Amino acid sequence: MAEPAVHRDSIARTIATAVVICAVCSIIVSVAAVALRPLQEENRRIDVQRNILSAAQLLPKDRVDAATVTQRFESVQLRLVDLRSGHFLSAEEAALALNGTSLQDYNPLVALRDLALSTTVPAVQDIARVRRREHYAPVYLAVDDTGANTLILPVRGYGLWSTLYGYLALAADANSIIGLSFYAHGETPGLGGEVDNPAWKAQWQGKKLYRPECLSGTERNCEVALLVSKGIGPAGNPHRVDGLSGASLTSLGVQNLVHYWLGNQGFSEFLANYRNGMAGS
Amino acid sequence: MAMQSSWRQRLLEPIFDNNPIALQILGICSALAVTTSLAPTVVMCVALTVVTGLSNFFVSLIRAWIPSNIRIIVQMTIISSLVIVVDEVLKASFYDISKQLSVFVGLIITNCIVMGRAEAYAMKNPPLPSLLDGIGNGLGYSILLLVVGTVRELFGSGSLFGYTVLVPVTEGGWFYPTNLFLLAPSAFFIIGLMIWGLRTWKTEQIEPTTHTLAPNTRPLVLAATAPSR
Repeated sequence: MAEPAVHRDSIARTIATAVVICAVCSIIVSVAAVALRPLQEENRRIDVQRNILSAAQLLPKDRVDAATVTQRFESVQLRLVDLRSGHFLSAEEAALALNGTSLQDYNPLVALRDLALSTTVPAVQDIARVRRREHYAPVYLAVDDTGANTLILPVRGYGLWSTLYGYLALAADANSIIGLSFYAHGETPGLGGEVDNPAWKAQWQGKKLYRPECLSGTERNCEVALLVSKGIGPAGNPHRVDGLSGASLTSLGVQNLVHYWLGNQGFSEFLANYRNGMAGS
Repeated sequence: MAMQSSWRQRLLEPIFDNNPIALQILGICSALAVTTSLAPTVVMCVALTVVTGLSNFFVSLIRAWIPSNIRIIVQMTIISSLVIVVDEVLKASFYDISKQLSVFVGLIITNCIVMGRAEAYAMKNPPLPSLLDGIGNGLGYSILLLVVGTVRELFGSGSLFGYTVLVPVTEGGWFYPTNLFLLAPSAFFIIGLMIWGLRTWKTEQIEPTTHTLAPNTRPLVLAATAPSR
C-alpha cells in the first residue's frame, strides 16, 4: 500500500490530476452556464418588465405568471429621452444615437462604458453616487385604465451597501408619483430591504415631486421637494414619505436618487417640457 | 441487515446525534444570513444538501487518485463546480428566490460543513456511504436552519413562507414585529438555546470542562462606588 501512495504524490501525478480535475470541472460548469443562459435571461427580462408594470400599478396585487406580465407589457411603449436637451428622440434619431443597437436591446448601464453615450457626473452633483450618467434614458409610456398617460422613468442610486436599481412612475402631470419599485439592490433584508415592502411602496402613491410654484412654468430648474424622512410630518403633506425604520441610510439613499434623477442632472428638463407639451413626439 | 442499519445510521446520525451546527459548530455564517424568512431557507437547505451529498460522492469516487498534497484544492474545485451548477440552475428555475439568496448560494463553497465532510469522511470511505453521510449532514443542517427560519420569520415579520400569520400593526393588526429577529444576532440566540436544549436531552454531547476561571485576586468593587475615569 505504501508504494502507490508515493507514486500518487509524485510531481507528474500531481500536475496530471490537477489538469484533469480542472478540465472536467470547467467543462461541467461551462455546459451548465451556456445551457441555462437563455432561461436566465428570460427570467431577468420578465423580472424587469414586472418591475416596470408594478411601478405603474398596472399589475394586480397577487403575483401573476410570466405570460401575463409579457402580455400586459405589450401595451407599454418604449421611448428614448435625451437627458441633455430634455426631449424625446424620434425613431430615426434613436436609431442614429444608438448606432445600430435596437431600442429594445439598449441598456443604459452598458452605455455607461461608452464615452460617446455617457458622461462623468461631477462629484458635487453626484448625490446618488451614480458616477456616470447616460445621455439617453429609456422611458416607458403606459396608458392606465382611465386613458391617462403614465411615465415610467429608470432611476438608480446608492443606498447603504449597494446601488438600488428601479423605476419611478409618474402621472401625466409629470409631478404626481404613481409608484416606485426596485428590481435590484443589496440592502439588508428586513431593514433596508424593506424598500420592497408593498406597504411602504404604497405611501409613495399620490406624493408630489415639485412644489406648485415650480409647476407654474416660470421657474425652470426647481428642486425636488420630496423628502424621505422620519415621520410623515403635517397630515397630508404631499412632499413627505415616511422613511424605513432601522434603515435611515437606505431611506436617505432613496431620497438622494429621487433628487438626482428628478433634478437637473436627470429628468427635470424633460418633465418640464413634457408638462408644457414641448417634449417632442 | 447490518449493512442497512449502518446506512440508516449514516443518514440519520448527523440529524440529532452529531449535528453539524449544534455539535460540530460548523456552517454558522449561512445559518445567520439566510434564515430571515423561510422560503430562501428551504432553498438554501436543499442546495446545501445536494452539494454536500454530491461533493462527498465525487470526492470519495476519486479519493484513491487525489495526491494528498493538493487534496484540499481538489476538493475545493469539485465543491465550487457543484455550487456554480446549483446557482445556475436556481437562476434559471427559481429566479425570485435566487435573487433573495444572492451571494449566499456562492458562499456554500466556503461552508465548513461541505469541506469538513469531504476531508473527514469522503476521503476515507467508499462513494455510497459518503453520499449518505453528505445528505445526512445536509439534513442535520436543514433541520436546524428550518427551526431558526420559522422562529425568525414568525416573530420578525409575523408570517410563514410569506403568508401572514400574525397581522402586524403596520397592516392594521395587533402584532408588533420584533426587528431583533431580522438581525443576524437573533440567530445566535436561537442556535444557542437549541444547543442548550439538545445537550440537556442528549447529555453525552456535553463537552468536558477544559478550564476553570481563576478566582479573583482583588475584591470586587461595585460599579456605583468605583472611581469614574
